[in-house]
Amino acid sequence: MSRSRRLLTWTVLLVLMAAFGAGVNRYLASGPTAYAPAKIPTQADVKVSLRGTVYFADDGGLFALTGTHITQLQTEGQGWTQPVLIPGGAGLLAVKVTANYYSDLYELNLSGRIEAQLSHDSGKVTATELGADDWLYYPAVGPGDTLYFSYDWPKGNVDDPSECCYQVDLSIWETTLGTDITRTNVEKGDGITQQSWANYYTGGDISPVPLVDGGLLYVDYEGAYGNTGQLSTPLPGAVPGAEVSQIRLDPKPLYNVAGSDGAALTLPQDDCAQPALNPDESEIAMICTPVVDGAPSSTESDLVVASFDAATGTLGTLDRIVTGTMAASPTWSPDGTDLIYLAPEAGDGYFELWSVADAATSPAARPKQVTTGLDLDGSAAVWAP
Amino acid sequence: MSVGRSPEAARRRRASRRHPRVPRVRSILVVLLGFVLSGVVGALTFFWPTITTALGATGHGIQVSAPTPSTLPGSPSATPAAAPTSSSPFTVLLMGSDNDGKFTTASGAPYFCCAQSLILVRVDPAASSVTMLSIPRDLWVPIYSASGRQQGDGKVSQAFGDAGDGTNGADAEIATIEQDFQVNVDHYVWIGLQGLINLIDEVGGIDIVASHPVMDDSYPYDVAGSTNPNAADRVAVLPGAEHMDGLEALEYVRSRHDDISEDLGRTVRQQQVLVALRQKLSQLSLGDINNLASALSGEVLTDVPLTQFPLLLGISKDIASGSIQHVYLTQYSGGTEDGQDVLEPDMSAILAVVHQYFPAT
Repeated sequence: MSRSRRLLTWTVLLVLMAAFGAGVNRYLASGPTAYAPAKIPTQADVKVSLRGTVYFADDGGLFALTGTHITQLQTEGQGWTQPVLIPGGAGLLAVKVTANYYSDLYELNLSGRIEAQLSHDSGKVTATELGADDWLYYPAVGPGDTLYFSYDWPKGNVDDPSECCYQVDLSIWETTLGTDITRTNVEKGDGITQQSWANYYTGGDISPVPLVDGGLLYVDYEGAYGNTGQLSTPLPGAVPGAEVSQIRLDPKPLYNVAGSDGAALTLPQDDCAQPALNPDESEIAMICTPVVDGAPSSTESDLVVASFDAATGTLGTLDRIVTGTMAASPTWSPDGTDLIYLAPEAGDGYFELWSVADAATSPAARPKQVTTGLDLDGSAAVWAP
Repeated sequence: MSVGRSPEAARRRRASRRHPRVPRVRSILVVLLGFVLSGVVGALTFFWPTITTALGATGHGIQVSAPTPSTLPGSPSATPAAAPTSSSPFTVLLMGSDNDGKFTTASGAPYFCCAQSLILVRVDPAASSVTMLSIPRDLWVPIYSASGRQQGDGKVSQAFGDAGDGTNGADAEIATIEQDFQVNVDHYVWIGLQGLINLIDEVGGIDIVASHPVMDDSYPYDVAGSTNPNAADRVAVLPGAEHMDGLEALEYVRSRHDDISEDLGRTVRQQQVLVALRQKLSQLSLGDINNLASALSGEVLTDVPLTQFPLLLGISKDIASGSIQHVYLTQYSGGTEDGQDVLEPDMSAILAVVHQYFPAT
C-alpha cells in the first residue's frame, strides 16, 4: 500500500472514530427517560368501557369519560377538584382551589360551563392575613337541596397574630344549595349551620355523605390514643399519637347540639375513611389502612366493602376486596353493582382509574385498569347514568 | 527510481508477505482501541455534568472543619468512609434541613440551625430488607463535637448547626448520633429543601395516599421564590390519592402546626415520601442521569463514594416497598430546657428499640 493510500486510510479511520465517539455521545443523550410526563386525559388510553358517564378531576381540570372517550370540561391547572352530581343529574358542583390561599364552590352544567359561584372564601387583604382566607371542600347535596360541606371555621386564635393559625380544622356545615357562603355568613349563622365539631389539631371532619332519611355519614380523625389522654384500649400497632380515622353516622344532624359526634360505624384500629354509599344505601365502600408488620401501613390502603343498615346504624363485616396496593376514592356505579377507584399503575406508579364488577358480592371480581398514562389525584369521581 | 524498487525494499516486501498477520493484527488492534477510546471520550463528554456534580457532592468524610460564611455545614475530609460491599449490611444517616442560610448570626454570617429531619437507615442487601428509624429532632441529649468530645446538652438536631467546640455539620451530627444511640453510622446523605424539591420534580413527582388531612396556616414560605424568611403560607393536603410535585411533597413532609401528633406526624410522612421516592428512583435510566445530577447540584452532600452508586441503585431496585420496616421513637415526654420546648428521652427504652434494628457499638 502506498504511503498516500495508507495516509488516506488512517484519515478515514480517524474520522470514523471521531464519528463513533460523537455517535456514542448522541446515543446516550437520546436515551429514553424513565419519567415520561403524564398524559392529559383527552390523550389517554381507556382500556375498559364503562356504562354511563364518569366525571373526574385531574391536574386541576375537569373531565367526562363516556365509553372510551374523554371530554375536557375545564382545562387543567385551574385547581378544580371534588366534582359531585347535583341530585337529578342537572349539573355538577366542584371545588376550585387557589393553591396556598383558599378554595371556592362552583356550580357547573354538565358541559363544564360555570353557572354560579356559591362561595367567596378569599378574605385576605394583605399577604400576612392568612387567617382571613378559608378552605371549603367536600360538597355533598342531600334531600331538599341541603348542601353539606367541610369548612375551616372556627379556627384557633385567628384574631391573635402571635398565636394565629396553628389550629386549622375542617368542620362540617350545612346550608341550602344556592346560599352565598362567606366567612361573614358562617360567623353569623346566617342560613349556615355547623353540624360537626372537629377534634382539634386533627385536620377535622370531612367527607359528608347525606342519607335519604336526613342522616349524615362523615369521617372524623383523632389521635390513636385519644386527643386528651389515652383511649381505654390503645390501638394495637398504632404509633402513640398517630392519627386514625373513623366513619361516623349522625342520624339527626339538623338537631345537633355543639360537640355531638354521631355514632362510630368503624373501629379506630380499622382506620377507615373516604366512604361511598351505594344508591339504595345498603353497602358502603371505603378505604381502610391495613396493619403490616405490626404497624399501620404508610404504603398500602385497602378498598373495603361492608353492608350497611341505615335504620339501625349498623355496619356489617369489613370485606377487603382490593389489597396490597394504594387504593383510594371509591365510587359506586349508578346501579350500585360496580365500583371505580384510584390505584397506581404498575411501573411508573401513577394513579389510574380501576373498576371492580359486582363489588358487593363475595368474592368480588378481579379489578380491571380503566385508564393508563394519567396521574389522577385527589378526589373521587362521579359516576352518572 | 522509486524506493520500493530497491533491493532492500524488495526484501522487506518479501518478508512482509511471509509474515503478513503480525502488523495486520496490530493495525486492527490499534483501530479497535481508537474506536473504544473515542467511545469512552464520547461517553465521558455526555456524563461530564454528572461527574462534576458527583465529585462535588460525594466523598465527604467524617472530620469536618468549622464552616465559612460561604459554605454549608459539612466539608470534604481526607478520610473517606469505608465503602459498602455488595452483601454486608450498612447504616446510613439521612439528614434534611434548610440550606439557604436565610438566618444569620449576630456577626452576619449564615446560621444553619439544625438537621430538621434525622432518619437512620439500615440496609441488609443479603436479606433484601431496609429499616428506617426516625429520630425526633427535639430529643434532649448530650451533644458531641465532630471530634467526639461531649459539649453539653441540646436538641439532637442542633449538632448540625452548632455542636460547640467550633464544629458542626454532618460530622458533628454523626458523632452525636453515634454516641447517644450507641450505633455505628457508615455513611450519611444530607439534602437541602430545594434539593428535595428538585429531586422529586426531576423524577416526575411522587404518588402517595394521604391518610389524614394536613392543614397549616403557618407553613414557612421560605422557598419557591420567597425572599422573606418569616413569611407564612397555607397548606391543605386532603386524604386520598395524591400526585405531588416537589414543592407539594416538601409541604407535606414539613408541615406540623395542625398535627395532633406534632413532630411524630411529619416523621411518619417523611418516611412515606422517601419510600415513594425510592420507587421512582428505582426506574432510573441513562437518559435521566444528567438531569438528576443538575437538579441536585449543590443541594446534596454524602460520604458515599461515587463508585458505590451503581451498587446502591441495584440494592434499591431489589428491595420491595413491602420489605421496608418503619420505626418511630416515642419513648419520651414533653419538657422545657433552656426556655425551649423539648422531648425528654427515656434513653434506656429508646436504646432497647434502636438496638433491635441497629447493632450496638
